[in-house]
Amino acid sequence: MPELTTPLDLEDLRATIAEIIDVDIAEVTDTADFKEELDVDSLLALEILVTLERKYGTKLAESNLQKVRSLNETYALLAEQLEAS
Amino acid sequence: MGTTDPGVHVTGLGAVSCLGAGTGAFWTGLTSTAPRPAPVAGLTERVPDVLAYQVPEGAADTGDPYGRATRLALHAARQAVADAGLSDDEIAGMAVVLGTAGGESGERDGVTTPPAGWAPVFRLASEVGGELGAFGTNINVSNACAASGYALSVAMDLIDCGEADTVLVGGAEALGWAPLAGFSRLGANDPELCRPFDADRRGTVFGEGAAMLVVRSARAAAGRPSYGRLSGGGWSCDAHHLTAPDPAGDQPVRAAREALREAASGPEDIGCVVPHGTGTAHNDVLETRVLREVLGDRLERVPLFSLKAFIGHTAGAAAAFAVVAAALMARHGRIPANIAPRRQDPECPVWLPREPVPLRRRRILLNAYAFGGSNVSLVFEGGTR
Amino acid sequence: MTARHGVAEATVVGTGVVVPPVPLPPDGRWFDHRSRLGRGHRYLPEACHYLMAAAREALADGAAEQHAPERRGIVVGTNSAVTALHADIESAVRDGGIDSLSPMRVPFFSVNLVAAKLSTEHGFKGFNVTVSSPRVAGLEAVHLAGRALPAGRGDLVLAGATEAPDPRAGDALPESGAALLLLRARTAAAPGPVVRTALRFLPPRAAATPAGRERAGRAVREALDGVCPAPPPALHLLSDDSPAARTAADAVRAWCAGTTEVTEVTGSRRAGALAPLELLARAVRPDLTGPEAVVVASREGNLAFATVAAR
Repeated sequence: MPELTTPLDLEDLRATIAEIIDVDIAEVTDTADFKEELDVDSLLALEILVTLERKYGTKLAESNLQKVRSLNETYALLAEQLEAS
Repeated sequence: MGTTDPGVHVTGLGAVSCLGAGTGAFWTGLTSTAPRPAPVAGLTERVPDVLAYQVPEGAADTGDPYGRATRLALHAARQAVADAGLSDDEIAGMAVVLGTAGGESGERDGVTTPPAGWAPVFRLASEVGGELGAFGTNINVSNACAASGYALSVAMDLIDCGEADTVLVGGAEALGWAPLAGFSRLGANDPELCRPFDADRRGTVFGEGAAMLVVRSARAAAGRPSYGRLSGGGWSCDAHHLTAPDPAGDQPVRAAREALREAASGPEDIGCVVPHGTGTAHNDVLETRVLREVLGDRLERVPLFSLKAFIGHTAGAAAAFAVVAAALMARHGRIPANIAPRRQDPECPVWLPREPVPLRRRRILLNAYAFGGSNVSLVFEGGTR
Repeated sequence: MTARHGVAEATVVGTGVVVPPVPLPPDGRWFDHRSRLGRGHRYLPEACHYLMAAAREALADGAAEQHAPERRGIVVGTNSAVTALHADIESAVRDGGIDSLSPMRVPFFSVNLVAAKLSTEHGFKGFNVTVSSPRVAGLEAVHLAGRALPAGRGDLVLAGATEAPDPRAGDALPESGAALLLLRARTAAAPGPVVRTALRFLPPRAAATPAGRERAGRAVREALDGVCPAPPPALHLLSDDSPAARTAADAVRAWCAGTTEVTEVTGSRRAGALAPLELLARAVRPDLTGPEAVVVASREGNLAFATVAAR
């Protein structure tokens, strides 16, 4: 079911991830490691993946979970996926 | 060893699963078939990786006006009660303890016009007790994949403290959208079959069914045929992570050791292990580590019987099915051949005999580990013929 | 000290009650998990929020620290804690498969995860059990705790109930909230309020026969004799208009006649197991003396009896 997809914007992505992880936006720095610094376990990482899939209208295979480690990496992953599609 | 020994005696068995209805069909299935799961009508169309080991059409039709889980439970319950040869008075006095993960939650799937009255989801023990006319203590246990293990343990406690002398106990599970779709979302479904300890395993596959037993105090069981005793049980809780087991495995080890201690048994007394063995990546390698810790260097010499490969993951009923299988193995004196993994995981060097092997020691260790971290181990000790 | 046959008992060392205020705020929102529990709980179902808040209250005195993690246990009763989540999952799947299922929310389809969260939160490794008999599940939980303690499964047990509205409550009233008792084994060395419980079952069809009603009457009287160390001044009775519940309620009223004031919770039955636990937990007051009794009788036949007394 196609959703209205969002253009990729770093600050919007930052806010989205902060909401998913339930932390202040300030804690989601460009390079903060989700797992080591923001307490994101594999289930929450999957939640991030799934939520971003729906928001940006792109499929992100679960094998991409290890690329969802920081804001910068997540942005890069999405940029690559959206470019390819 | 006769039924005057202390402890909790198993005097009746009942089972309904993808292998059919009745313990005869169950044993025949374990000794001669390799079932495969099938798509779930109404669900697989929407969630393609969902399969399940399903009770054959019509096998458990009882004409009872209840939801599917209760109907399965009743079928197995009547088998167990008949097998135990209980009189009407004994049935009227018996306690009923039933474990289930989902209860009748599946009855709400795809139903847009709900009934007018409130139908509590977890009412299986109540309905079984009501239908059979049993006035004893009636308890519904909902500890996910360990529910019937806890139910069996509660039944043992009721007998030990004198609250009951006869307990109809076990587990029942019908299919439901939430667990099957939920596991798919979590990437925990194997899209082919349930293949515990296989190097290529990708998750579990659910199975529906019910397994029920009649357990009795030594005094109540005196003079009646008995399959053996439940001689030990141990509880623990990972308290680690909501969905993933603690890789350290301390708590499942503790539950197993407690069960062995209560059964006055050591690793050298165990003739077989019926593992939790679900086919998920985490569980099977963790359980191997647990068994290594508990059995030590005997690990490679104690045969496992990987029951879920035959009937799928029956969730709340799994532990009860394991005890039924153990009782039948003890009765027949042998462990059926395992369904061999195509390629056994080298990180799981457990012994899964590909041929039937004799049950050389009468004590069987059973494990059940719940989603959420509740663990239970039981020791079943087969009776002398 | 031996409990009477079929009666479990324990000493109450703490309580936690988290229920909607009366009256409710105009917008109906009475519990904000962020302010009550802090960050990081947004994916938990509401029944889990209530349970966590109740547990923090019950454990506020620091009793848990006196026991090793493996000696602390939890038994929680519920009927409807995750029925709303099931309904959400069902409708999401009906419309579009798993795409809109949240990985963080979905595991709670397994009702025991609600109680399991307490174990991870407070390091309770002894055991964690969820029970679910209609209406009586909370007292059922306290009963099992009262069995587990003298059996040595643990030294400290949190036991109680949590509920959230069942979207298919039908003709029953939804419940919201949680109530917990913190329990230790009853010993001469540790005085304190004592909770006593008994469970009974009346097959509903038996309520239609004189023999069945007679047997039920005996069971009810024995249970009340067992849990009441003395005639209670007050007894709360929760039942409904079903044959089983009416039969049990008649027997309760007969037993109480002349000695015990019976307060009946009238109106529609509740779609959950919380109310009896709330009554029991609130009875644990500094000025408690004689036993206060709570009896629940369900349509499905499950009956539960509980008292709290100073001794």
